[in-house]
Amino acid sequence: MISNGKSVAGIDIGSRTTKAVIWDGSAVLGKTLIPTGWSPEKSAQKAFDEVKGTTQIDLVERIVVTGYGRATASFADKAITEITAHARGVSYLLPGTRTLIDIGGQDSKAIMIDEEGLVFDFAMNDRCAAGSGKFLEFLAMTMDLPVADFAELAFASTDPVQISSICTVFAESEVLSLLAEGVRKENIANGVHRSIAQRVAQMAKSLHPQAPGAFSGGVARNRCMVRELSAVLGFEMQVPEMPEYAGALGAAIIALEGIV
Amino acid sequence: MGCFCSYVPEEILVAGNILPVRVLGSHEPQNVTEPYLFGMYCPFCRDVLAQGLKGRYDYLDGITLSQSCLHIRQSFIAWREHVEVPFNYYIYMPNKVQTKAATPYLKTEFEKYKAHVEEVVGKELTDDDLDRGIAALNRNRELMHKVYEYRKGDTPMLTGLEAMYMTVSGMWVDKDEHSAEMEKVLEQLPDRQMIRDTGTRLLVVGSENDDTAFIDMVESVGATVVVDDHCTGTRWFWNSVETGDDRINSIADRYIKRPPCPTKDWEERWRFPHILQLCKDFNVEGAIVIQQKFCDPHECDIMPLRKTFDEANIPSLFLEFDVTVPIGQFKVRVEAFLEMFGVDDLF
Repeated sequence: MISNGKSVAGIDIGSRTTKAVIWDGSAVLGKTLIPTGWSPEKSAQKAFDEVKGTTQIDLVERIVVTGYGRATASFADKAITEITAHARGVSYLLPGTRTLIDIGGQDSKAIMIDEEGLVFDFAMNDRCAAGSGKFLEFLAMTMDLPVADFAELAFASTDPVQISSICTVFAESEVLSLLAEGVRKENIANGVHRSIAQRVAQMAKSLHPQAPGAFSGGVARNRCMVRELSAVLGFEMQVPEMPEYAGALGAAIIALEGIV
Repeated sequence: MGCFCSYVPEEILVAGNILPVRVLGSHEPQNVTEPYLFGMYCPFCRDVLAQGLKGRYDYLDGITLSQSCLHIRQSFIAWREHVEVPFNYYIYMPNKVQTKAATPYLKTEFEKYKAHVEEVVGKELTDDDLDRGIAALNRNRELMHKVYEYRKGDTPMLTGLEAMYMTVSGMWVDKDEHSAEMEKVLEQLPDRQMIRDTGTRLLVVGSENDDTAFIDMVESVGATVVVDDHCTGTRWFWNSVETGDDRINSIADRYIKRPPCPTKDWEERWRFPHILQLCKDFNVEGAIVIQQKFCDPHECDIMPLRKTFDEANIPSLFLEFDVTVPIGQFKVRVEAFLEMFGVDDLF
């Protein structure tokens, strides 16, 4: 994509974190990630100011926002859904992707992408945090571990226990019972990851997923989740560079395509 | 007369000068139905029963169920037992409508229902009464068809929300009064200036749907609902009674042959070709499949219905409804669905 020297911004106002990138058509000139907090609009503005400050750009030609808080960012030129944004970002980072899984803070999505990099079907989790990053955070907290340590502990296990509960709160009770029974922590942690992977795969399979697959969103940094998702879907899930920024980058790509 | 399900023969009620009222829910959380309905009964049936238990239909003189699904039947039975109402009647509407025996069978059942209505009103219903009832319903249906015609053009002359208000109000208001209002609307529609963009043309399909907030949201983000297949919409009014000497037989034949609810759509599938014809006639670009959570008849149709849409190259979005719907979460899905159509508008 030729930008003619123009720079644009994409901001992904997620339920947990807000991500912003500055993009010139060939490179990410700056990126930032901050907690969304209680005001998505303020977070979006703060993320934009921060990312702009990290670059030498005087003028950002266009801003496209995405994510659950997209409607609140009145300073943006356009708002698009995170489904379209993630598909766009990942199609740029990993061309040819046909099945995209995005696990965010409070929802998870399976997105089907056609040969031209356009969304042709999608599914999202309904009314429930099962299969989301929040589920993972909650269960890590139950085991008194930071999420990153929880993920690494899980990755070390090859014998996951079965977690039957889909409900986050009931899953916590189940984990506490397993701990009380003396089941090894790493096997419980792995079981939690497999439970999420199965939940997400169940949703994805309604769309008849096919390789090549990709995994975006912050949870894609979790290599146990990548392994489990790949296993239950039956094909490898590739993780793009900076997976948590895929939505923001997709928004920026759309911003630039609108002016060049 | 409170009507559970759209298979109640309103012609016979109107013949007896009785006002048919479709019993619907309120879309509010409630806590009164648990003793009578198990947790996996559909939210619509639960919402309906809640209205009875809360006394919101205390003006009814009677209730009638025409058999369709077991969920609404349980709402009817619980209402009959726990809400004071002078009259009640259960019509054994057959689920097997695709047989020659169906119309004669239903004729017998409707004759029994006519006798019940005669008992309620204290007088015999004559052929003239039945003709009046049939004429009132047929006129109302014909006018709704005429209004729907104005949704077929490049610029639909009314929104899906307005159409929903029209059809659902027709289930509550006196038919002649409702028809008179529609005639006024029909005079104004040709000259109406629509100041909104049509956007993507959608069909909504599913069981009962009177969720105005949802339709309003869909139409606020770049779409117009141009037609529906709901029992609170086209399935209710689509076909008329073909008058004959045997009035009850004619009425029965109308209910046997109407666009079916999934409970009655076997062995041959009548629904899917009918829905595809609606898509063609109304120039539909995409479909929203609205599923009342736990509604077994419609749930069992989701896979073949979506396959039907896929084969016709009509993208579809599946949404599961409860008593209240999470408008914000649904909005993301609807917007993403619409973005699939408007790739050029993305930039």
